[in-house]
Amino acid sequence: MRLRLAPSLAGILAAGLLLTGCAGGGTGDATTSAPADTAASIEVGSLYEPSNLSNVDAGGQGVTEAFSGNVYESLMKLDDDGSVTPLLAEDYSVSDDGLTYTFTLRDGVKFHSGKELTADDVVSSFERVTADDSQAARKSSYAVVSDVEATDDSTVTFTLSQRSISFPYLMAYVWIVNPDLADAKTDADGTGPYSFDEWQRGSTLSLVRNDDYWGDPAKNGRVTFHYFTDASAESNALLTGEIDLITSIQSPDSLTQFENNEDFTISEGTSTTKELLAFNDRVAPFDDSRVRRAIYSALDREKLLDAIWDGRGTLIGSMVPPTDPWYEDLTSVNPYDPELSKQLLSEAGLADGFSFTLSTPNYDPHPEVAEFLQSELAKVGITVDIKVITADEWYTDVYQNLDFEATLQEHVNDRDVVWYANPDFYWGYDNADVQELVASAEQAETTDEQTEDLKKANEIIATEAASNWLYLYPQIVVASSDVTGFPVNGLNSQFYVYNIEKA
Amino acid sequence: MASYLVRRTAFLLLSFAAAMLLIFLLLRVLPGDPANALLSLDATDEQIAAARAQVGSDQPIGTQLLNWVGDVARLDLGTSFTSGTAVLPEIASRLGVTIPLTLISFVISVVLAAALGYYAAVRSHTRLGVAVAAVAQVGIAVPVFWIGILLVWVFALTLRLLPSGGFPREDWADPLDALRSLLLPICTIVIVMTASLVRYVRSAVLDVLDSDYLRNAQALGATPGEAFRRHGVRNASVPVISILGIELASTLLGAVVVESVFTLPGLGSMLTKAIETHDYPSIQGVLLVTTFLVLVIGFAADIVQRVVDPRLRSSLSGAHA
Repeated sequence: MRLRLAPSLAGILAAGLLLTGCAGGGTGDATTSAPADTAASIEVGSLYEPSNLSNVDAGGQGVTEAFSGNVYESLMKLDDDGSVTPLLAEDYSVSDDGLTYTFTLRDGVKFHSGKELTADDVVSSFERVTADDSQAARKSSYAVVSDVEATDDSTVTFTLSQRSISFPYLMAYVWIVNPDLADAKTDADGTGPYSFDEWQRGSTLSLVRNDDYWGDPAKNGRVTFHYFTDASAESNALLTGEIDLITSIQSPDSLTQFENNEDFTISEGTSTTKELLAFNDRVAPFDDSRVRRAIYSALDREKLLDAIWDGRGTLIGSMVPPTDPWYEDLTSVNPYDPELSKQLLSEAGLADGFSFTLSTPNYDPHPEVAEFLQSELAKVGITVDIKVITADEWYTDVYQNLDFEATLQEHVNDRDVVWYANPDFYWGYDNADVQELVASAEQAETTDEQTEDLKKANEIIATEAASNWLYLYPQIVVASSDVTGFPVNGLNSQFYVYNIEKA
Repeated sequence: MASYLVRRTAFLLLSFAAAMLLIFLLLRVLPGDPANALLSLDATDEQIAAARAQVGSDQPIGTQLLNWVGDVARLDLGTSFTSGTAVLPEIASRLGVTIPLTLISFVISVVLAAALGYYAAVRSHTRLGVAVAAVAQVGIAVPVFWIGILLVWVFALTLRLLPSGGFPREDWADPLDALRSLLLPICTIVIVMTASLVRYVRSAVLDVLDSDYLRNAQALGATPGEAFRRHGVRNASVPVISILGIELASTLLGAVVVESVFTLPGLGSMLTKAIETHDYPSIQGVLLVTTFLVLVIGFAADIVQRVVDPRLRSSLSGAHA
């Protein structure tokens, strides 16, 4: 069984800021020729069963997948291309000093329970995210809000303590939840195109179309998520027609039975999940960027990607995936070049090589990646001791106690390059220029300025090989060929189901 | 017999108490804090402290143990850290899958194994008899998940006769539908369990066939079949019954593999998920209930054995009364 960080620690990490699900963006075009059945029931297969139904109580990646945009909506919506557009907000305005955001709510929006959406509901939904006991992802990002107020029934005003160009983007992560709901962990009341029907723990979670929806109604009548713990059981269910599609294929092995089979379509979208070899940049010899670059150049990443993903996926040269607005191709900054690697090592005074311990999570693909690294690095005289650890040990030893030399991890969120500006983060990369650029990006007045700053920061991070970004996962959806309209990129683990049609 | 029952019951309760202690302590020895299940990557110290208080991991172990024992005594298995729902009703609902799966498989296996084992013993010198014994041997060696995968391949993927897994959303509302979902899992368990039981039945029957009393009975004019029915069945079943208890218990525990292969929402999948998320109340609850069931099965097997075997019965009520 594959235990991705996000799901396996579903609970443990509750997904937080950087590791919760996320991937590039969007909804596939729903262009069907055959007339679709608007009452159809869509059966979706997934490996990510929620821990509970709340996104501020460690519900995990699964609840985002099933509920985000489907059952719950936000003021803003994260679109296919990673851009952000108003959803429950009709519109919003920013004051000249960039410190006041005023959102006007859409008219005629109702919760599934029938209650009309008001500005007070938005305020309480926001407070739910920032509450003391909230375990919401990105919670710390909302610290910039000093005050939130319902100015009238349909207007909400946020006052910030400093400029935050990301603020509208962050609002896409705040679900608007009816505050009258007794227990958001076990029940749901949102404004989305579906209402929550039933959750059979360990088995299925079903949604039914909300006929009172304020926007375009869902194109199917019902969606049921079927949860699997075993990827081959999931594939079998698709082969036998018990499910219509699989939200995210996690290994190329599962694909062989669907390839060259006209009953199924395989769609490869862009994910934002990066496989990282992260060093503890605080400790020698990894405090020397030449050593990190030497390691990066010793790795034939193309070969690695072939081995792990059978040629799918993308090579990246930095923490920024193509769907982030500040992406640029930096794959050649640290090219595969063993001679360069040896030269860098000798410049760093390590001509005879050295050895280090690689703390390797015990689930796919990390052990396989670790062995690949071991054999590649041996060629330039570096000995790798692989130390296999559980996800829990990773969280405690690596993440909390910083007790490691190097580790492997998959980072699934979009827009997460900013973590290199936090010297206290587990990898301990500390560069004043980067910190300044990231801070000024957030203070920027326009997104162009923001993008420019973050590009500069990212170039420094990549040039110094703060970590080694091995590859970007592909985002693969396999569907029965009579099914269309599913999201191909699964941005931030979201899986909008309302455009899915079954012919 | 009565005093035996009292002693046996006392032993049952004592074992249960020991098991409880063991379950509790083993979980605490494992690395990791259950509060981790509630934390996000950017959790502050205050949030970590709040999470610990919420799951009770900030309390001394003794207090935690006493709280748990007290709750269990009131039949309260607590609330899941992660899902926020009560553990006991969820276990009950999962048992709605696991128990039928185990029991149906068990009954079928016992009937099949009795017939096949008897045949293999009585015809131990014929080719077919040898073949039955040999197939059983092979059946034991094959891993249960492999049989499951094979059955899925044949009956679900190739013949499209049965679903490859899953369980109806409506549970047992439509019993036929539910049974259809359980058919392949049941077959999987039956194959493994029958194979293992056939050996015991066969050797028990062979022992009996070789006995003097059976030869006597036949010398007195009974046909071999009559002699076995009248004098052999009871004797042959005594050793088998003690094995049945163990088999039933291990099937209950082993159902986790079958549940995973067939994506059944049983106790096994609940335990797997709970372990993944450090959900102590759920882990403890599932282990407690399964331990209890296993102990009760052992208890029942002992009693049945004594009811079937007059020698055990009399020696126990006589010598130890």
